[in-house]
Amino acid sequence: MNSNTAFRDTIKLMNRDRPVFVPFVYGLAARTGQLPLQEMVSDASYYAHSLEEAYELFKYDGIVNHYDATIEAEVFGCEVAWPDDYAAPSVTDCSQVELREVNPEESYRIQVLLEATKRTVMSKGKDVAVIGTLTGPVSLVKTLLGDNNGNIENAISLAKNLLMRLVRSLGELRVDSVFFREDLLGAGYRDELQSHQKPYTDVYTTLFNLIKHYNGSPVLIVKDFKMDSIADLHRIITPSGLVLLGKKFSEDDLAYLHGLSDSLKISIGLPLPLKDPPELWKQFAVISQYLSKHRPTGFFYVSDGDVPYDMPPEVLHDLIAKIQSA
Amino acid sequence: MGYIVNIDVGGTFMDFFVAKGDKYLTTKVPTTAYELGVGFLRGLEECAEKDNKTLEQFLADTDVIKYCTTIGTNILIEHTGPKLGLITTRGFEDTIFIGRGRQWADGLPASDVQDVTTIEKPVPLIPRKLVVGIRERVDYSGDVVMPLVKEDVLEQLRYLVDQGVRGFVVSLLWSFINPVHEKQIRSIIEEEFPEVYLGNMPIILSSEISPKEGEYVRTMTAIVNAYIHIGFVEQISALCSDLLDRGYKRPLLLCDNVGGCAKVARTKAIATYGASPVSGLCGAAHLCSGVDLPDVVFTDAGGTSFDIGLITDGSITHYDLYPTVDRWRTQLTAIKITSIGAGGGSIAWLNPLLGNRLEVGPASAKSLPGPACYDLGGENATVTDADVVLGYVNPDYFLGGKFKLNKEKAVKALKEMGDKSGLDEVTAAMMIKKVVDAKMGNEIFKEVALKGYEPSEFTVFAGGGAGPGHCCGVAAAAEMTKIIVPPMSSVAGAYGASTLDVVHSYEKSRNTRLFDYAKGAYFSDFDMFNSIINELRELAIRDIILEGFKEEQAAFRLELEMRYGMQWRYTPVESPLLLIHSTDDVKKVCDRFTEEFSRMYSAEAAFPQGGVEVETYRLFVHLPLPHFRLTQREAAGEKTLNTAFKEQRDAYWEKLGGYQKTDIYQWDLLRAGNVIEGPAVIESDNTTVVIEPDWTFTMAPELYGMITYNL
Repeated sequence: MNSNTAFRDTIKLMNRDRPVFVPFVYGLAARTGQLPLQEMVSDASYYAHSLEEAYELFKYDGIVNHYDATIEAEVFGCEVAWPDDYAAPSVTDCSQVELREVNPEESYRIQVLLEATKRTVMSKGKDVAVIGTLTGPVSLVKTLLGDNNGNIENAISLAKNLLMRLVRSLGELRVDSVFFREDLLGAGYRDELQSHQKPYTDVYTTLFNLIKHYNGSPVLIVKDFKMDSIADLHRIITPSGLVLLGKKFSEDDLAYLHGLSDSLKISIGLPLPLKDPPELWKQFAVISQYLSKHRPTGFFYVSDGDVPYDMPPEVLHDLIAKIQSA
Repeated sequence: MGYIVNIDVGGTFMDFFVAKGDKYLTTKVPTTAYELGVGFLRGLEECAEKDNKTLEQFLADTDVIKYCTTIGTNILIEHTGPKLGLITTRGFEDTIFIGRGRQWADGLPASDVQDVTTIEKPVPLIPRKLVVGIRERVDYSGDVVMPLVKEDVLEQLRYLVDQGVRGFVVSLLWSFINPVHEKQIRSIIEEEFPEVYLGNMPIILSSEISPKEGEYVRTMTAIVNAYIHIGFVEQISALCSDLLDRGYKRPLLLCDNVGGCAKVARTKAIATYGASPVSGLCGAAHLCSGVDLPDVVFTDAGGTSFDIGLITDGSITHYDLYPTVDRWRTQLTAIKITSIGAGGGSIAWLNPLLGNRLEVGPASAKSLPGPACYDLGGENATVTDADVVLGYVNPDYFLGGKFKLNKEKAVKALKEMGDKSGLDEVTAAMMIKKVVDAKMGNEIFKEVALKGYEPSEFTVFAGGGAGPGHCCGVAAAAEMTKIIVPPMSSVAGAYGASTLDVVHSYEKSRNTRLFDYAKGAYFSDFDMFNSIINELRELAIRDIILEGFKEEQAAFRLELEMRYGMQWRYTPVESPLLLIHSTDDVKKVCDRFTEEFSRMYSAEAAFPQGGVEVETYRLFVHLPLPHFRLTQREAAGEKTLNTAFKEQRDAYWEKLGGYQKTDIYQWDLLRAGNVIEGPAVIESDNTTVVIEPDWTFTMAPELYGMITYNL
């Protein structure tokens, strides 16, 4: 079974083989391609080449097309800063944003991203999962408006339209999944979602339906999310998978998540703290022991955030070797 | 015995009917028009899951896949075919642009044809500057009057290549009688661009695609085939490659529009056009013959179109000799299907030219963005939205609960449309239902009555996902009182594909006067007649062997297009004999023609004084494949409905004055002999059966439903 099939089976809670590993490789891809990140994302050839080179070097199970929460905000007119050669950019100022209907085709970065994704799917898509990443609607609206919620209904509607178009574009490129980043708000995501639950639910439902129409699976990335709130979240929105960044799991936690995964029919992404190797091996030992003993069919590994571009490659090599020999 | 997988692509859904032994399973997935292969594999995955297998295990256990595809249709509609060059007889370069005079109306619905102020001729598949004429001439009897000049051909060829063509269509006058010049041109092109070089391009000869009389339609048939050929090859190759990667190593059979299927390598691209409704019709004929229903009007109401075909006296006998493919009149022989734009995804709109009268279709919301209630971004009110608001379709049980519908969005879309004409959402929904039922019913009535049959004697076969939901209203509008709802009605096309044999057809035009009234003599050149049949037979045997069959397995059938002398139209007649050896044999063929002609037009219309002619010979070869047979059967008798009863919900019935608490049943829990008086709704995984007031549903022993009007 190849990685693509294994990933798809995991999302469908049908993976009876070893767990898959989907690290968020973005700055590291630029480093592998020996290009500053800003330069990499400005040219589709460099971009696709870097993503593929990083994959060839480490051979993980899913290629994420980017890990950058500024692309959508930039289309609306937010200013973006690039801190250094390999770190992901961040939004610095949205005060000049005029809320209006935006066209993603006018964004050069999005066109490059889509072209690079297309090439990656064409060259690697048969063997490895290719995953599109988008900023989630809650995080996007929060970025655009900040603390000023005066125009929030309009902002949600505009964010929905943009994200729908991006989902369609990714769907036509045959990505295997779309991950929505809602980790930017950390623990505040839940409150933000509930404050305007109905319109956000409406947005998520349409986006998830669209992804499923294209035979992909929608996955939500959250951070510092309380595990006992997962069932409540699932009553509101129903992604096929949930990635729980910022958490460290005990065996009891994993047993609880296993039960949730089976009852809610949702796959769970378990983060490995690659920024902290001693913690990484501790956490990996706990999780891998649970997985080998109980064999949950819907668990998969992710990196806890963007894989550090300066981490020693042998750490990642060792980790992947251990995962693949499970 | 392994799986036999049958797939039918519609405008909105792709249907799957998988048979293994006497068991079957079905599924529907949204059509992925951007790349059909995605939906194809997704549907296979769902079928595998339903049988608790992985896709690889499922495909390893699959004997054959039959596929009704719309690849060709999509290429035509989207105009994504290659740049082609047309080589024709000098002086006749404008034939395809003149057409048959009314070319501008071909392929358009009647309402569009009436609005002459907006009508436009279609954009040609080959622009005028890529049509070249060469000096040559063959006459009506096949004699070469002016030989071909190689240098002339090369000069035109180089011009076309310089213009960037990626393929050639060759169509010369009278080539169907003598194709010598067309074949010479092909040799010249192949010599100039051998296969080993990258410049090699496909060459389509009209004498091979459609060796029949009719300069314009013969040329258009060749052009349409060439236009869709290259894109077809690419998409089918990619699909075959995907299947191979996943462990399927057996043949992929493509269904065609003459009621058969064949391997990809033995199928012409144009033959796949319209295969889906033809397969459905064949399936209906197969099923109805087993339950003693000889006169049936097959209907398939899907998401985008409503297809109608006739079964008379147990047989499919109606052909369209000049079908319009997209906007192009061709002469490929196809089983006659009438299609109109009406289905579950048809968009309701207000016609400003008629005082904002409510119309439904022909535009469809398709699978993306889909009806408003699909929650995929669609905002237009559609027939499905109306069905949800009226309470017929359960939004929590659409496709067996796999796909939740959003009733609020349906209400919103209907309200927005209704507000423009002073209607509330319920009234708007009811009007949409009535308009679309009347549209479909009137089309059925016309189809049956204009062919000389009495509509009330026919049974409506309610096929398609939306068919059983509207069958009572449609049958009433068509003045019919009996409806058959088979257990696999929602995947009628895919089920139909399962009943198809491998069929090839071969045609040749050769005007042959079988009876000369003036001389009182029958045709006597039996060798000439038989040589045509034998020529076609040799082509058939070649294909039989290449399909992997033995000659002994083949069954041949000869059809002749015949007419009385000086008539304009031909009548297709099944010949009682394959070969003729005596005057008596010729007389038998003529008598058969007289019988068929008289049945269609009455005996008084027969005109033997004109003599009897054959214009086209058509040989069919059938190679049998295993068919799925419905073997389920229960003893009839009244049984309790309690097990099948699900719940009650409010549904709107105009006859009863509005919303009423209505009984809802589960199809697969109904038993033979169960009788349900309307109003009621029966739900299944893939469709909803709506039994209106004054109609009664009875489950037959073979577990299909019969709905009859209470007279």
